[in-house]
Amino acid sequence: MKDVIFLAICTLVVGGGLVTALSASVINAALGLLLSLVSIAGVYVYLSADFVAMSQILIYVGGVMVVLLFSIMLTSASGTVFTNNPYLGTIPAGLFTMLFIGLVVNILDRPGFSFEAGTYGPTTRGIGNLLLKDYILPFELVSVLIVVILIGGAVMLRKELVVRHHVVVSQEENKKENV
Amino acid sequence: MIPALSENPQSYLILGAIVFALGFFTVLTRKNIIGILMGIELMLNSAGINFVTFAHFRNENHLPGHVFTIFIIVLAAAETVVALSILLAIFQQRRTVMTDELKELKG
Repeated sequence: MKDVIFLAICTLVVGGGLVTALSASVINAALGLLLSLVSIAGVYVYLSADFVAMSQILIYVGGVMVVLLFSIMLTSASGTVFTNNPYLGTIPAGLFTMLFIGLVVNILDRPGFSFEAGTYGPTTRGIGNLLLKDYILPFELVSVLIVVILIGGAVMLRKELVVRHHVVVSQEENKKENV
Repeated sequence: MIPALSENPQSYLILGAIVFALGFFTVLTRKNIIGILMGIELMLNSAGINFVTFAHFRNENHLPGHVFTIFIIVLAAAETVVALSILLAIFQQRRTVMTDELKELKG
């Protein structure tokens, strides 16, 4: 039973990834990625990482996917969304990909590659202790990074930058027309 | 006796390799910048799967792997936000998000 559900989750992960890799529509690719991310949270649950699974759903599905979908809608003229994801060089990229999977499977097949049996248990308390003791410096650095990113995102998209450029462009166009 | 599929670390590692390969393929083949970003997300997720797998299949002291995975998730979100705001700024100036049409940058 456990294995059946595990296989179903793996199928969803790989299926979502395949849609992301092969779909001609950028919206479908984003929805495939969404499926893949949610299923990867399921894989985390199988690895007794309950807190990581919840963060995965909260941050990826609640944050990253919303931003991705918004920018898809903002950058695609309506109507072209479903044919707006062309790709090139499929055959060499596919060969590289197959080579990589073959390499990993080959490495894992070697004898002497053994692990201990995993244990299951709650992890949140331990993660909190680690974040505020051993990993306090990276934790605080991440806080600073998030502030920087908030400010950076606001600066990057502020109005003056865009308006100034449009004025320049339209002036150049006027010059061309006058010539 | 062969352990069950979900108790065998190899199956998780192969899943991580497949997800990484799909992300790699996406990055290599897409023209749309948003598509390339999705491939990067898949690759980061496969790194997370590998971290948690190696953390799970040890008897003691497996939580640092989880902490690193959380850092990966947060940094991936941050990276996506920056990349997409750059993308929107480019789009407002050039009206395109295709890498083959953005050739003005001389290096």
